[in-house]
Amino acid sequence: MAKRQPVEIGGVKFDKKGDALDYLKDILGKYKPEETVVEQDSIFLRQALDRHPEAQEKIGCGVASFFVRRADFSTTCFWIRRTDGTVVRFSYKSCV
Amino acid sequence: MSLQVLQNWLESESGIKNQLNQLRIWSARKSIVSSLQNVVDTDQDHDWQKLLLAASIFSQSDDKRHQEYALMIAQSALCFSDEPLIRDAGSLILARLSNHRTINLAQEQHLIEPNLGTRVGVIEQLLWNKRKLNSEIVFNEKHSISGNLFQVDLWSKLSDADWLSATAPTAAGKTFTILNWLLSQFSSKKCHSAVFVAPTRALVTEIERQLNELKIDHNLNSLKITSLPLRELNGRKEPFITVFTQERLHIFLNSGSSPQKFDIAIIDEAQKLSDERRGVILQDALERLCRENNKCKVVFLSPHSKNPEVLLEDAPENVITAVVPSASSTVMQNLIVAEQVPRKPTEWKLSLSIEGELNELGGFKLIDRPTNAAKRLAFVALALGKSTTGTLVYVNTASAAEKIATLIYDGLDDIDLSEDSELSELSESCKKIIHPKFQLVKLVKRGVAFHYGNMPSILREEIERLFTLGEIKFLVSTSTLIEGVNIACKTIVVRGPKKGIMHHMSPQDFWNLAGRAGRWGADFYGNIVCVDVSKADVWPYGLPQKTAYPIKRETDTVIQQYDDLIEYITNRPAMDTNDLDHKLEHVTAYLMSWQIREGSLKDASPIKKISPEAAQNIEELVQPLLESIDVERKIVSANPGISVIALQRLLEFFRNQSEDMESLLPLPPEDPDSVDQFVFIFDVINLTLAPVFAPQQRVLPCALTTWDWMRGKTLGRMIAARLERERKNGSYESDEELPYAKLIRETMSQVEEIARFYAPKYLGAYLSVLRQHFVEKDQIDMFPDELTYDLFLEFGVSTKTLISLIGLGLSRTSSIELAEYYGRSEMSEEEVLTRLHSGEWESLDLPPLVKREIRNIVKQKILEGM
Repeated sequence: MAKRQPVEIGGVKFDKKGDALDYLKDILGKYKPEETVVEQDSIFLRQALDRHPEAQEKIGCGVASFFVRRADFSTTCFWIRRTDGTVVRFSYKSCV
Repeated sequence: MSLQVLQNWLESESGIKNQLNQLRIWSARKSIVSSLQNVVDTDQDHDWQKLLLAASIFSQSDDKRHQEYALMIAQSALCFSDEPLIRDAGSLILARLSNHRTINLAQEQHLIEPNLGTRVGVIEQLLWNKRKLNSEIVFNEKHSISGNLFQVDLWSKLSDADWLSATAPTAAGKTFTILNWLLSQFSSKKCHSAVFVAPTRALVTEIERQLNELKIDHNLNSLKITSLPLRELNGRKEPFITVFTQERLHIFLNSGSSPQKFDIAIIDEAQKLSDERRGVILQDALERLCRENNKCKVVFLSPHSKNPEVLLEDAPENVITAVVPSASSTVMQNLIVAEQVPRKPTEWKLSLSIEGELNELGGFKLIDRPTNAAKRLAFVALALGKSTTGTLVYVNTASAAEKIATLIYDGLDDIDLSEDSELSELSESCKKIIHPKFQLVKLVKRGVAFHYGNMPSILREEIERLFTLGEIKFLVSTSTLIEGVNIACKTIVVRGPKKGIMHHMSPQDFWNLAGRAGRWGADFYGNIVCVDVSKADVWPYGLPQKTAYPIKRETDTVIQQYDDLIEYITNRPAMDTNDLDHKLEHVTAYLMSWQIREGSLKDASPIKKISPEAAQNIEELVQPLLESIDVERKIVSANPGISVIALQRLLEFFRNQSEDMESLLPLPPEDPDSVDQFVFIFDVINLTLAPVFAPQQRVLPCALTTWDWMRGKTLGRMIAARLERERKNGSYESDEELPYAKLIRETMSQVEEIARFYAPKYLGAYLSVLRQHFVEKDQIDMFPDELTYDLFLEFGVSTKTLISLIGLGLSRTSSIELAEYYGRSEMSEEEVLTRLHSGEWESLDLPPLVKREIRNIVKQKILEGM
């Protein structure tokens, strides 16, 4: 049986990865497609994004805001709006 | 003793009430005898002389009850007396009641000899001629009719009043009168442009067709009559009439640089101002018409309203107003109860209700044991309607309509009308236009059909036509009939009627429906048969008492719920679209729009009806919310029902977007990414304007329907594609398991609700705000000018050729079928007409109904001299 791996993101401690994933999934679920993520959730997401294996590439010139958009027709995911206006999606699952 | 006292005495217990009731029951029995197996004794003697004298006295009264007594006696004598003299006397009473169409019917059925006027004494002859003259409505030198009391009153008041409100049930002939009056205003050059507003597309098509037929009688062959809200019409030099729903009227008023100034506006089914969904939009449309031209003459029509005068409250000062109240019926109506004989499920009896008291008429047998509610209704209708025509069965849902129609069909297994060419053409067209498994394909072969709002108009209209002709004997219908399709019948059969799925029908709606029983000029009697009235779960309020509609504008209703409104407006700025309250949002939008336009709410009609303090409070609440609004005023006016807060939220959304501005524009339907873009736009609409395409899983199906519809896919192909998707889904193991009827119905309903209603309305708002954003960013050159999505969606086409075909009067179905053979997509109406004139379409493989429609249009255009 795999060992539980506690995770800490943005000062929030999770007993296991699954809890962190659920937490991020809940944040995603609060928003409608095309809705901008509010400041409090953005702070947490920004910390989570740093853990992304391609964080540098995704952040680019800097994060202006996060928003939710459809990935495929049936699912939604987080997107970054960069300070230069470009947008890019990222998977929260890669951040845990 | 004055005449009035005498009339009142006659109908009292000490007068002849008893004899009147006896006659009433006797005539009802006689009228329905052919449908019954055993009839309670119909062998009765009546003192005709006394009764006819009473009828003559009653006929001079203005009281509707008295007039109905006169009609009842006259028709009983006319239809059921053995003596020619008595029948003649009954006809003379009908002449007093201005009911010449029923006299003509009696002549056609050989109940009386022709030339009644010449068989009576000199004085009566003079009176006969005088009455004929008084009831004569002269449309022009060549055409006139003998109007009934209501029509005569309406015609005379129309000549003086600027604002008029008339109320009458379906059979009174109000639409026919008003359309002729409207055309007479054009032939006498008193009017240059007019709009007829009807609540449903079905009614719009019907009115447009009637006007096109009637205009020939008025020598107005070239008068433009259209239901297309085309920009080119705005400011047109030649006279024209438009026939719109309230939504299309807004599209038209938004289309030009300044809205059209109409001379005449006719608001049909004006009681819809009370409607939760469309009331505010209709009121807003009317106010816009009057703002553009405060001399616009306005006519309201409503079915049997209690307070028609309330519609005139908003008339400008110093205009002449008039009310034309409902007159008595033109056809006798029997309110009949059908109940099962205790412990004998197949044996039933009918009773006539008079002032709540039941009087047995006779009994009849059902075809089989009615083991469920649907069978009880279907078998009663079948038993009563089998040997006659014009039986209408009211049901609560589209699925019930199909089920009941199928049960009736099964009971008619000894009938095969497939030799009837019109019915087999209808069947063939249903197969081609909808799907081979669409239930109507087989049903119509035995003269049975169903009818509901989401069916394509080409089929619905054909069904209505064949039902009126008697070729379709049974029509099972949902509430589309109350919503305003001018169809009458001989008998209506109902069981626990509801409006929608949840709510039991109000007595007003019931009587509006019942108003269709009895076709004036075709029937002497109309029957309303109520099944299982003693069952409290079916008829919780018992047999509906005859009552009229109380009209109350939706804006007034909501504003008088003051506390709820105040709370809603207070919370509105921070509100998520999911929390919007449809009812309160519409009125909030109306008030905000008024405040922005006028700077104060004080003159808004619903505000004038509440206390000055309450009015002040609302204004003080609304005003600060508008300070940070910078959506253009004309956008706010052009989008009734969508609050300025929602529009501003959309504008802010655009301003916060950092991507290429073009990525916000919809794509033409032929672009492969068009659906994805609709998904994006519908997401934005759900987020900022209203959750009309929510929840988010619904957005893709809505986008697909909208896309298919707009690129002109036929309904048949949309249904086939839906069935194919379901097959691939794997939820059903074989084709036989597919719920064809349900999937066909659902596709039709999505087209009507999503593609034709919500998508054009909200895409129109989206585009108007986006345009402002492009202007702000100095990028207006990039904004396509021809983005007429509202028009394309409303009609489900995206090429000029198709719009031209629809503009000629063809249905969408016919236009698309025909355009499949046309290579060019930019043809004008004239070019399209030239091709139709050439007759090449005759050799094409088109459904029979489509060919008939094209033939009729070509004929009409020849008459118009085009």
